[in-house]
Amino acid sequence: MAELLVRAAPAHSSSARLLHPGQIVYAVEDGFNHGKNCYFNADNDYALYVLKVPGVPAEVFQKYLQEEMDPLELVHWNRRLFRIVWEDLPRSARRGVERDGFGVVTPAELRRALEHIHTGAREGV
Amino acid sequence: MADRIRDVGGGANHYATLSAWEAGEQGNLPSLDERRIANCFAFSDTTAVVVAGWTVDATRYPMVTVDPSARHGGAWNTSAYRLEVSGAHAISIQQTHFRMEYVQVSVSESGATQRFAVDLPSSATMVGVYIEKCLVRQAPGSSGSGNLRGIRLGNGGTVFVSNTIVQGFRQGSGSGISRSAGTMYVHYCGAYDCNIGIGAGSGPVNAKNCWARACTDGFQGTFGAAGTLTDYNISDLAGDAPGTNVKNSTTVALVNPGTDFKLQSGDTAAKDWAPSLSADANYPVTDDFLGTTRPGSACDAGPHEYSAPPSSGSQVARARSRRMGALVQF
Repeated sequence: MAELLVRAAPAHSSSARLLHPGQIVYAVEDGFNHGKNCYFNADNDYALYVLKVPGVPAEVFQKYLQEEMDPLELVHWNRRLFRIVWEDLPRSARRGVERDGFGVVTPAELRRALEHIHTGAREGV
Repeated sequence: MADRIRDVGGGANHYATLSAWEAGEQGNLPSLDERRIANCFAFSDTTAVVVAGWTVDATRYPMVTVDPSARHGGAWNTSAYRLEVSGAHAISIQQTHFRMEYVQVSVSESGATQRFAVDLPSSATMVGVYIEKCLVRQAPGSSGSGNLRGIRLGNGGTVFVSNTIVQGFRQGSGSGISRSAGTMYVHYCGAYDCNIGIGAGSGPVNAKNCWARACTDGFQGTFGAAGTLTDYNISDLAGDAPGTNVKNSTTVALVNPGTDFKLQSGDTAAKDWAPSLSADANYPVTDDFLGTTRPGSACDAGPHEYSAPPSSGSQVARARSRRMGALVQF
Protein backbone atom coordinates (compact mmCIF):
# COMPACT_ATOMS: atom_id res chain seq x y z
CA MET A 1 0.00 0.00 0.00
CA ALA A 2 1.25 3.46 -0.84
CA GLU A 3 0.52 6.51 1.21
CA LEU A 4 0.47 9.93 -0.40
CA LEU A 5 0.95 13.23 1.38
CA VAL A 6 -1.17 15.79 -0.45
CA ARG A 7 -1.36 19.58 -0.18
CA ALA A 8 -4.93 20.47 0.73
CA ALA A 9 -5.32 24.19 1.33
CA PRO A 10 -4.02 27.09 -0.75
CA ALA A 11 -0.90 28.66 0.71
CA HIS A 12 -2.08 32.29 0.62
CA SER A 13 0.20 33.04 -2.31
CA SER A 14 -0.18 32.68 -6.04
CA SER A 15 3.33 31.51 -6.85
CA ALA A 16 3.46 28.61 -9.25
CA ARG A 17 6.42 27.33 -7.30
CA LEU A 18 4.28 26.54 -4.28
CA LEU A 19 2.56 23.23 -3.86
CA HIS A 20 -1.04 23.89 -4.82
CA PRO A 21 -4.12 22.04 -3.60
CA GLY A 22 -4.14 18.47 -4.82
CA GLN A 23 -0.43 18.28 -5.56
CA ILE A 24 1.43 15.36 -4.00
CA VAL A 25 4.28 16.15 -1.60
CA TYR A 26 5.67 12.63 -1.42
CA ALA A 27 4.72 8.99 -1.80
CA VAL A 28 5.84 6.42 0.75
CA GLU A 29 5.12 2.82 1.59
CA ASP A 30 2.41 1.84 4.01
CA GLY A 31 3.04 2.38 7.70
CA PHE A 32 5.05 5.58 7.40
CA ASN A 33 4.79 7.81 10.46
CA HIS A 34 3.87 11.10 8.84
CA GLY A 35 3.69 13.35 11.88
CA LYS A 36 0.50 14.88 13.23
CA ASN A 37 0.44 17.96 11.01
CA CYS A 38 0.43 15.79 7.91
CA TYR A 39 -3.05 14.66 8.80
CA PHE A 40 -5.83 17.16 8.09
CA ASN A 41 -5.91 19.37 11.18
CA ALA A 42 -6.22 22.93 12.41
CA ASP A 43 -2.63 23.54 13.55
CA ASN A 44 -1.52 24.26 10.01
CA ASP A 45 -4.87 25.46 8.66
CA TYR A 46 -5.73 22.06 7.19
CA ALA A 47 -2.80 22.34 4.80
CA LEU A 48 -2.19 18.63 4.21
CA TYR A 49 -3.88 15.26 4.18
CA VAL A 50 -2.84 11.65 3.73
CA LEU A 51 -4.34 9.43 1.05
CA LYS A 52 -3.85 5.67 1.36
CA VAL A 53 -3.88 3.59 -1.83
CA PRO A 54 -3.93 -0.16 -1.13
CA GLY A 55 -2.12 -2.50 -3.45
CA VAL A 56 0.13 -0.01 -5.21
CA PRO A 57 3.84 0.40 -4.49
CA ALA A 58 4.97 3.93 -3.74
CA GLU A 59 7.38 4.05 -6.66
CA VAL A 60 4.42 4.08 -9.08
CA PHE A 61 3.71 7.64 -7.99
CA GLN A 62 7.05 9.07 -9.07
CA LYS A 63 5.34 10.22 -12.27
CA TYR A 64 3.05 12.48 -10.24
CA LEU A 65 5.96 14.09 -8.43
CA GLN A 66 7.41 15.47 -11.67
CA GLU A 67 8.18 19.14 -11.85
CA GLU A 68 7.38 21.27 -14.85
CA MET A 69 10.57 22.66 -16.38
CA ASP A 70 11.06 24.99 -19.29
CA PRO A 71 12.09 23.30 -22.55
CA LEU A 72 15.78 23.83 -21.90
CA GLU A 73 15.37 22.78 -18.28
CA LEU A 74 16.89 26.02 -17.13
CA VAL A 75 13.90 27.24 -15.16
CA HIS A 76 11.55 25.44 -12.80
CA TRP A 77 7.94 26.34 -13.45
CA ASN A 78 5.39 24.37 -11.48
CA ARG A 79 6.27 22.17 -8.54
CA ARG A 80 4.10 19.31 -9.85
CA LEU A 81 2.60 18.48 -13.24
CA PHE A 82 -0.41 16.69 -11.77
CA ARG A 83 -2.97 17.36 -9.08
CA ILE A 84 -5.70 15.40 -7.36
CA VAL A 85 -9.10 17.01 -7.84
CA TRP A 86 -10.67 16.94 -4.37
CA GLU A 87 -14.25 16.99 -5.62
CA ASP A 88 -13.61 13.92 -7.74
CA LEU A 89 -12.37 11.76 -4.90
CA PRO A 90 -15.00 9.33 -3.61
CA ARG A 91 -17.20 10.72 -0.89
CA SER A 92 -15.96 8.07 1.55
CA ALA A 93 -12.35 9.23 1.06
CA ARG A 94 -13.25 12.88 1.53
CA ARG A 95 -15.24 12.06 4.63
CA GLY A 96 -12.29 10.08 5.96
CA VAL A 97 -9.95 13.02 5.44
CA GLU A 98 -12.29 15.42 7.18
CA ARG A 99 -13.00 13.06 10.07
CA ASP A 100 -9.69 11.20 10.58
CA GLY A 101 -7.12 13.26 8.68
CA PHE A 102 -6.67 10.58 6.01
CA GLY A 103 -8.70 8.85 3.33
CA VAL A 104 -8.52 5.53 1.50
CA VAL A 105 -9.01 5.14 -2.25
CA THR A 106 -8.64 2.37 -4.79
CA PRO A 107 -6.15 2.86 -7.63
CA ALA A 108 -9.03 3.30 -10.08
CA GLU A 109 -10.70 5.94 -7.91
CA LEU A 110 -7.45 7.84 -7.63
CA ARG A 111 -6.79 7.70 -11.37
CA ARG A 112 -10.17 9.29 -12.05
CA ALA A 113 -9.22 12.22 -9.78
CA LEU A 114 -5.65 12.73 -11.07
CA GLU A 115 -5.48 15.60 -13.52
CA HIS A 116 -2.68 17.06 -15.65
CA ILE A 117 -2.48 20.71 -14.61
CA HIS A 118 -2.34 22.07 -18.16
CA THR A 119 -4.23 19.67 -20.40
CA GLY A 120 -6.87 18.77 -17.84
CA ALA A 121 -6.56 15.17 -18.97
CA ARG A 122 -7.52 12.63 -16.36
CA GLU A 123 -5.31 9.64 -15.80
CA GLY A 124 -8.31 7.35 -15.52
CA VAL A 125 -10.17 8.43 -18.65
CA MET B 1 6.60 39.30 14.70
CA ALA B 2 6.24 35.74 15.98
CA ASP B 3 8.30 32.62 15.46
CA ARG B 4 6.18 29.60 14.57
CA ILE B 5 8.32 26.58 15.49
CA ARG B 6 7.30 23.09 14.42
CA ASP B 7 9.13 19.87 15.29
CA VAL B 8 10.37 17.48 12.63
CA GLY B 9 11.05 13.82 13.36
CA GLY B 10 10.73 14.05 17.13
CA GLY B 11 9.61 16.28 19.96
CA ALA B 12 5.97 17.06 19.25
CA ASN B 13 6.43 15.32 15.86
CA HIS B 14 4.50 17.80 13.79
CA TYR B 15 6.14 16.49 10.63
CA ALA B 16 8.11 13.36 9.83
CA THR B 17 10.32 14.92 7.17
CA LEU B 18 11.69 18.33 6.33
CA SER B 19 9.97 18.15 2.95
CA ALA B 20 6.60 17.71 4.68
CA TRP B 21 7.34 20.71 6.90
CA GLU B 22 8.11 22.79 3.81
CA ALA B 23 4.89 21.67 2.14
CA GLY B 24 2.74 22.17 5.21
CA GLU B 25 4.10 25.49 6.40
CA GLN B 26 4.62 27.38 3.13
CA GLY B 27 2.75 30.63 2.81
CA ASN B 28 2.84 34.42 2.86
CA LEU B 29 5.01 35.14 5.90
CA PRO B 30 4.94 38.97 5.79
CA SER B 31 1.16 38.77 5.77
CA LEU B 32 1.22 36.34 8.68
CA ASP B 33 3.98 38.42 10.31
CA GLU B 34 5.90 35.23 11.15
CA ARG B 35 9.16 33.45 10.75
CA ARG B 36 8.47 29.74 10.29
CA ILE B 37 11.08 27.45 11.80
CA ALA B 38 11.62 23.71 11.41
CA ASN B 39 13.20 22.27 14.55
CA CYS B 40 14.69 18.94 13.51
CA PHE B 41 15.38 15.97 15.77
CA ALA B 42 17.74 13.02 15.37
CA PHE B 43 16.93 10.80 12.41
CA SER B 44 17.96 10.11 8.83
CA ASP B 45 15.72 12.19 6.59
CA THR B 46 15.95 10.70 3.10
CA THR B 47 13.36 12.79 1.26
CA ALA B 48 14.70 15.54 -0.98
CA VAL B 49 13.59 19.05 -0.05
CA VAL B 50 12.60 21.89 -2.36
CA VAL B 51 12.09 25.35 -0.87
CA ALA B 52 10.20 27.48 -3.35
CA GLY B 53 7.31 29.83 -3.77
CA TRP B 54 7.07 31.23 -0.24
CA THR B 55 6.30 34.92 0.11
CA VAL B 56 9.01 36.35 2.37
CA ASP B 57 10.96 39.45 3.25
CA ALA B 58 14.20 40.17 5.06
CA THR B 59 12.80 39.53 8.53
CA ARG B 60 9.99 37.03 7.88
CA TYR B 61 11.34 33.91 6.24
CA PRO B 62 11.51 30.11 6.61
CA MET B 63 14.38 28.68 8.62
CA VAL B 64 15.66 25.19 9.39
CA THR B 65 17.47 24.53 12.63
CA VAL B 66 18.29 21.44 14.66
CA ASP B 67 17.19 20.87 18.21
CA PRO B 68 20.12 21.18 20.65
CA SER B 69 19.65 17.47 21.47
CA ALA B 70 20.28 16.50 17.84
CA ARG B 71 23.19 18.67 16.67
CA HIS B 72 26.33 17.29 15.04
CA GLY B 73 28.89 18.41 17.60
CA GLY B 74 31.58 18.99 15.01
CA ALA B 75 31.71 15.43 13.72
CA TRP B 76 29.37 13.55 11.38
CA ASN B 77 26.97 12.11 13.87
CA THR B 78 24.45 9.33 13.21
CA SER B 79 22.76 10.20 16.50
CA ALA B 80 21.94 13.66 15.13
CA TYR B 81 19.68 15.00 12.40
CA ARG B 82 20.88 14.07 8.89
CA LEU B 83 19.39 15.00 5.52
CA GLU B 84 20.71 12.06 3.46
CA VAL B 85 19.42 11.98 -0.10
CA SER B 86 20.26 9.73 -3.03
CA GLY B 87 19.55 10.52 -6.66
CA ALA B 88 18.41 14.11 -6.18
CA HIS B 89 19.68 17.40 -4.83
CA ALA B 90 19.34 16.99 -1.07
CA ILE B 91 17.91 20.50 -0.62
CA SER B 92 17.16 22.91 -3.42
CA ILE B 93 16.62 26.49 -2.31
CA GLN B 94 14.79 28.21 -5.12
CA GLN B 95 13.87 31.51 -3.55
CA THR B 96 15.13 34.44 -1.52
CA HIS B 97 15.41 34.74 2.28
CA PHE B 98 16.00 31.31 3.74
CA ARG B 99 18.28 30.17 6.54
CA MET B 100 19.62 26.77 7.52
CA GLU B 101 21.86 25.91 10.46
CA TYR B 102 23.33 22.87 12.23
CA VAL B 103 22.13 20.52 9.48
CA GLN B 104 24.15 17.53 8.31
CA VAL B 105 23.59 17.06 4.59
CA SER B 106 24.82 14.25 2.37
CA VAL B 107 24.16 13.48 -1.26
CA SER B 108 24.86 10.47 -3.47
CA GLU B 109 24.27 9.61 -7.11
CA SER B 110 24.60 6.23 -8.76
CA GLY B 111 24.24 7.49 -12.34
CA ALA B 112 25.70 10.22 -14.48
CA THR B 113 23.51 13.11 -13.30
CA GLN B 114 25.07 16.03 -11.49
CA ARG B 115 23.79 16.43 -7.92
CA PHE B 116 24.26 19.01 -5.20
CA ALA B 117 23.88 18.64 -1.46
CA VAL B 118 22.71 22.26 -1.22
CA ASP B 119 21.42 23.53 -4.54
CA LEU B 120 21.08 27.28 -5.07
CA PRO B 121 19.90 26.94 -8.63
CA SER B 122 19.63 28.78 -11.86
CA SER B 123 15.92 29.41 -11.47
CA ALA B 124 16.29 31.88 -8.62
CA THR B 125 18.40 34.86 -7.79
CA MET B 126 19.62 34.46 -4.27
CA VAL B 127 19.13 37.19 -1.71
CA GLY B 128 19.29 36.68 2.02
CA VAL B 129 20.18 32.99 1.93
CA TYR B 130 22.36 31.79 4.81
CA ILE B 131 23.92 28.33 5.28
CA GLU B 132 25.55 28.17 8.70
CA LYS B 133 27.13 25.60 11.04
CA CYS B 134 26.42 22.71 8.70
CA LEU B 135 28.34 19.54 7.82
CA VAL B 136 27.99 18.81 4.12
CA ARG B 137 29.45 15.73 2.51
CA GLN B 138 29.40 13.31 -0.39
CA ALA B 139 27.86 10.14 0.97
CA PRO B 140 30.46 7.43 1.45
CA GLY B 141 29.89 4.73 -1.15
CA SER B 142 28.36 7.00 -3.79
CA SER B 143 29.36 5.18 -6.95
CA GLY B 144 28.10 7.09 -9.97
CA SER B 145 29.88 9.26 -12.47
CA GLY B 146 27.81 12.44 -12.11
CA ASN B 147 29.53 15.41 -10.54
CA LEU B 148 28.72 15.79 -6.86
CA ARG B 149 28.97 19.22 -5.30
CA GLY B 150 28.42 20.45 -1.79
CA ILE B 151 27.03 23.98 -1.78
CA ARG B 152 26.52 25.31 -5.28
CA LEU B 153 25.39 28.80 -6.33
CA GLY B 154 24.11 28.65 -9.89
CA ASN B 155 22.86 31.93 -11.23
CA GLY B 156 23.49 35.13 -9.43
CA GLY B 157 22.62 36.84 -6.21
CA THR B 158 24.54 36.67 -2.96
CA VAL B 159 24.75 33.73 -0.59
CA PHE B 160 26.34 33.64 2.85
CA VAL B 161 28.04 30.50 4.17
CA SER B 162 29.81 30.25 7.51
CA ASN B 163 31.12 27.75 10.04
CA THR B 164 30.47 24.92 7.61
CA ILE B 165 32.50 21.85 6.64
CA VAL B 166 32.39 20.40 3.14
CA GLN B 167 33.86 16.93 2.86
CA GLY B 168 34.59 14.18 0.38
CA PHE B 169 33.32 15.69 -2.86
CA ARG B 170 35.36 13.52 -5.21
CA GLN B 171 32.79 12.05 -7.59
CA GLY B 172 33.18 13.45 -11.12
CA SER B 173 34.59 16.93 -10.90
CA GLY B 174 33.34 17.21 -7.35
CA SER B 175 33.66 20.44 -5.39
CA GLY B 176 32.83 21.50 -1.86
CA ILE B 177 31.64 25.10 -2.08
CA SER B 178 31.36 26.54 -5.55
CA ARG B 179 29.64 29.07 -7.75
CA SER B 180 29.06 29.57 -11.46
CA ALA B 181 27.49 33.02 -11.10
CA GLY B 182 26.81 35.45 -8.28
CA THR B 183 28.72 36.22 -5.12
CA MET B 184 29.41 34.08 -2.10
CA TYR B 185 30.68 35.15 1.28
CA VAL B 186 32.41 32.18 2.87
CA HIS B 187 33.58 32.80 6.42
CA TYR B 188 35.15 30.36 8.89
CA CYS B 189 34.63 27.30 6.66
CA GLY B 190 36.65 24.15 6.15
CA ALA B 191 37.06 21.97 3.07
CA TYR B 192 38.35 18.44 3.48
CA ASP B 193 39.15 15.77 0.88
CA CYS B 194 37.52 17.39 -2.17
CA ASN B 195 38.71 17.71 -5.77
CA ILE B 196 38.11 21.43 -5.32
CA GLY B 197 37.56 22.66 -1.79
CA ILE B 198 36.27 26.19 -2.32
CA GLY B 199 35.83 26.97 -5.99
CA ALA B 200 35.30 30.55 -7.05
CA GLY B 201 35.34 29.97 -10.81
CA SER B 202 35.41 33.37 -12.48
CA GLY B 203 34.52 34.83 -9.11
CA PRO B 204 34.01 36.30 -6.80
CA VAL B 205 33.96 34.18 -3.72
CA ASN B 206 34.92 36.23 -0.69
CA ALA B 207 36.62 33.81 1.67
CA LYS B 208 37.86 34.77 5.10
CA ASN B 209 39.25 32.66 7.93
CA CYS B 210 38.87 29.37 6.05
CA TRP B 211 41.04 26.31 5.67
CA ALA B 212 41.41 23.52 3.13
CA ARG B 213 43.02 20.20 3.85
CA ALA B 214 43.60 17.05 1.77
CA CYS B 215 41.98 18.58 -1.34
CA THR B 216 43.43 18.34 -4.84
CA ASP B 217 42.89 22.09 -5.16
CA GLY B 218 41.93 23.79 -1.91
CA PHE B 219 41.05 27.24 -3.23
CA GLN B 220 40.35 27.52 -6.97
CA GLY B 221 39.46 30.48 -9.16
CA THR B 222 39.04 34.21 -8.64
CA PHE B 223 38.47 35.37 -5.09
CA GLY B 224 37.42 38.78 -3.81
CA ALA B 225 39.92 41.54 -3.13
CA ALA B 226 42.84 40.26 -1.09
CA GLY B 227 43.09 41.83 2.31
CA THR B 228 39.59 43.28 2.35
CA LEU B 229 37.18 40.64 1.08
CA THR B 230 39.44 37.59 1.12
CA ASP B 231 42.03 36.98 3.79
CA TYR B 232 43.41 34.72 6.53
CA ASN B 233 43.01 31.44 4.69
CA ILE B 234 45.06 28.28 5.19
CA SER B 235 45.88 25.45 2.81
CA ASP B 236 48.09 22.40 3.08
CA LEU B 237 49.05 22.95 -0.56
CA ALA B 238 51.74 25.30 -1.82
CA GLY B 239 50.64 28.62 -3.34
CA ASP B 240 46.96 27.89 -2.85
CA ALA B 241 45.29 30.02 -0.17
CA PRO B 242 43.96 33.39 -1.39
CA GLY B 243 44.36 36.66 0.50
CA THR B 244 47.07 38.92 1.86
CA ASN B 245 47.65 37.09 5.12
CA VAL B 246 47.71 33.40 4.29
CA LYS B 247 49.35 30.17 5.28
CA ASN B 248 50.28 27.72 2.56
CA SER B 249 51.77 24.25 2.91
CA THR B 250 50.29 24.32 6.40
CA THR B 251 48.09 21.55 7.74
CA VAL B 252 45.36 22.32 10.24
CA ALA B 253 45.44 19.75 13.05
CA LEU B 254 42.02 18.16 13.53
CA VAL B 255 40.82 15.85 16.29
CA ASN B 256 40.16 13.07 13.78
CA PRO B 257 40.65 14.11 10.15
CA GLY B 258 37.69 13.08 8.06
CA THR B 259 35.40 12.32 10.97
CA ASP B 260 35.85 14.96 13.69
CA PHE B 261 36.55 18.47 12.49
CA LYS B 262 37.23 20.15 15.79
CA LEU B 263 40.72 21.54 16.26
CA GLN B 264 43.29 19.59 18.22
CA SER B 265 44.58 21.25 21.35
CA GLY B 266 48.06 21.22 19.84
CA ASP B 267 47.12 22.91 16.57
CA THR B 268 49.46 25.74 15.66
CA ALA B 269 48.03 26.57 12.23
CA ALA B 270 44.52 27.85 12.84
CA LYS B 271 44.36 28.61 16.55
CA ASP B 272 44.27 32.30 17.49
CA TRP B 273 45.56 33.30 14.07
CA ALA B 274 42.62 35.04 12.41
CA PRO B 275 40.93 38.34 13.21
CA SER B 276 37.39 38.41 14.52
CA LEU B 277 34.68 38.78 11.90
CA SER B 278 32.10 39.92 14.42
CA ALA B 279 32.08 43.39 12.90
CA ASP B 280 32.65 42.39 9.28
CA ALA B 281 30.95 44.95 7.05
CA ASN B 282 29.49 42.39 4.68
CA TYR B 283 28.87 39.30 6.78
CA PRO B 284 29.48 39.48 10.51
CA VAL B 285 29.87 36.12 12.26
CA THR B 286 30.14 35.87 16.01
CA ASP B 287 30.22 32.14 16.86
CA ASP B 288 31.50 28.76 15.67
CA PHE B 289 29.90 25.55 14.39
CA LEU B 290 29.05 24.45 17.91
CA GLY B 291 27.39 27.77 18.66
CA THR B 292 30.27 28.86 20.90
CA THR B 293 30.85 32.60 20.93
CA ARG B 294 34.20 33.57 19.44
CA PRO B 295 36.53 36.03 21.15
CA GLY B 296 36.77 39.64 20.06
CA SER B 297 40.20 39.11 18.51
CA ALA B 298 42.65 36.31 17.74
CA CYS B 299 40.02 33.85 16.53
CA ASP B 300 40.66 30.38 15.18
CA ALA B 301 40.40 29.93 11.41
CA GLY B 302 37.83 27.42 10.26
CA PRO B 303 34.53 26.36 11.80
CA HIS B 304 35.79 25.49 15.26
CA GLU B 305 36.85 27.90 17.99
CA TYR B 306 39.01 25.80 20.27
CA SER B 307 38.50 26.19 23.98
CA ALA B 308 40.48 24.17 26.47
CA PRO B 309 38.45 21.97 28.79
CA PRO B 310 38.60 23.15 32.40
CA SER B 311 41.59 21.67 34.15
CA SER B 312 40.95 19.18 36.93
CA GLY B 313 42.74 21.55 39.31
CA SER B 314 40.34 24.40 38.63
CA GLN B 315 37.37 22.01 38.85
CA VAL B 316 38.57 20.85 42.26
CA ALA B 317 39.02 24.43 43.40
CA ARG B 318 35.51 25.37 42.26
CA ALA B 319 33.98 22.32 43.94
CA ARG B 320 35.87 23.06 47.14
CA SER B 321 34.78 26.68 47.11
CA ARG B 322 31.14 25.62 46.59
CA ARG B 323 31.33 23.23 49.55
CA MET B 324 32.85 25.88 51.75
CA GLY B 325 30.21 28.38 50.66
CA ALA B 326 30.36 31.92 51.90
CA LEU B 327 32.94 31.21 54.55
CA VAL B 328 35.79 31.44 52.08
CA GLN B 329 36.52 34.42 49.86
CA PHE B 330 38.78 33.84 46.83
